[in-house]
Amino acid sequence: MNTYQSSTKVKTITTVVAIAVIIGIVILIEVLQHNATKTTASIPTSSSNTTMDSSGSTSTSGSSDTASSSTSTYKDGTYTADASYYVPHGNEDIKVTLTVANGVVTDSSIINSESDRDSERYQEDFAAEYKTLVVGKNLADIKLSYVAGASDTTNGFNDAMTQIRTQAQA
Amino acid sequence: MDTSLVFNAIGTRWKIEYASPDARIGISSIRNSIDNTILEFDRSFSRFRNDSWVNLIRATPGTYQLPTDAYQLLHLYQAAYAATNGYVTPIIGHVMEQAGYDAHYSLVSTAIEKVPDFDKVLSFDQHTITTKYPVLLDFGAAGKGYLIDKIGTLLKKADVKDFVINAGGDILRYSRDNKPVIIGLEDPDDFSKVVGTCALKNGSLCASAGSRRHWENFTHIINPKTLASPTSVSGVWVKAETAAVADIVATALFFVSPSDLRSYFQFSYAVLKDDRTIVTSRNFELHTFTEAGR
Repeated sequence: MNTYQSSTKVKTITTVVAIAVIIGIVILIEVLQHNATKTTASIPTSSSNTTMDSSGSTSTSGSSDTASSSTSTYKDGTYTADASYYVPHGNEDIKVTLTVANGVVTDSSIINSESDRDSERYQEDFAAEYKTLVVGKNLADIKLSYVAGASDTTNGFNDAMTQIRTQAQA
Repeated sequence: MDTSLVFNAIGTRWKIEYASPDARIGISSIRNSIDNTILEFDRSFSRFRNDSWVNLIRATPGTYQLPTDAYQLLHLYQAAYAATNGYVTPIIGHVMEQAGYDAHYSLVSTAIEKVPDFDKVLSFDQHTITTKYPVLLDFGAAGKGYLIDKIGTLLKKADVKDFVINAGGDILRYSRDNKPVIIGLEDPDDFSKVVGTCALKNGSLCASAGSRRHWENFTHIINPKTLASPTSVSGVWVKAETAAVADIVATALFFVSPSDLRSYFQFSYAVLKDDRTIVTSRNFELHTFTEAGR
């Protein structure tokens, strides 16, 4: 019924390690950046670094919260990190490089010791992640046939919750 | 879709809408099949009836024949257990009871025992399970999704070309013509609102949140390692090809990040944190609202 692709787990580790290394570098840059009003450092993919979604809010990639800025600026330059990790068929090495100019990541690359189609796709999927602050919209103001949320409770559970609250107040 | 069925089952409210089939299979025959499917599933896996298979095997370690679907469920949970490093586990029935979410809905917690490792407690194959300690299996994280898929398969076999199964906010959509339905993501903090919408043509969208089942400091989502309910994630929505996968991944995302699961399951996601930010993958295609456009 469902297929689980555990055989691609190994290839995904490459991606995750690469991204962990990049996140490490990126967070470091943002912590030390003085006047970052918009997050422009992003996880590198073959497409553009920052994207806007259709509702107009700015998207950032990466799921970790960006740290607040401090007072020192980060020097322009090129930063690299190497990581090596064991996979069942041997060792994989990755080299991550970021170039910073005017406090912004302007270039990046990841070099795998073993180029891998699958991990490129997962890398792209992972990188294309958005974070935005939500604003609730009234159901009355929008036409929707379906709403997805926590499962509706039945009377049995509702009665139990009411009883508990009553006891708590007594 | 000209027919709809509304009923309560497995502790929640179901609405099934479908286009009447062209074939000669009558509507009442479909309804009977749906009822029987749900009944059989409930009899096997419900903690809330004392004649269920999970309750009958709980007290005495040993080897038992697996009922229909048990192997598939255990296999799914085994994958999720590995993918989440133990955060999603079926060996959580005792925790649910001790936290208060027992068969009588006492909603009062008592001392909660640790959750043992999967492999230490049970092994299984296609036909049997062997338990080494007394264990109450709980399939709450994926059971509903799995059952939704079963009913979906039934409808497809009856030549239904368009349906939406909505079981308490977990949804399976099938449309031969690929027509989308628009679904709102319920705001866990305010049920009169939605925090976003998305479209669904063919596949499942499952939601998970503690917003409706909560008591003391618990929701029905309990971290097996801390024995407490997570607080930093408010709500999770997952799209996947099947409801079983969407359902189990939605639970998993309370505990792990999406990248941990990628090599096990195919899905897209939206995770609402308690700071009111939502993190979503591009392929979920979430539409959110701005302050101005509200």
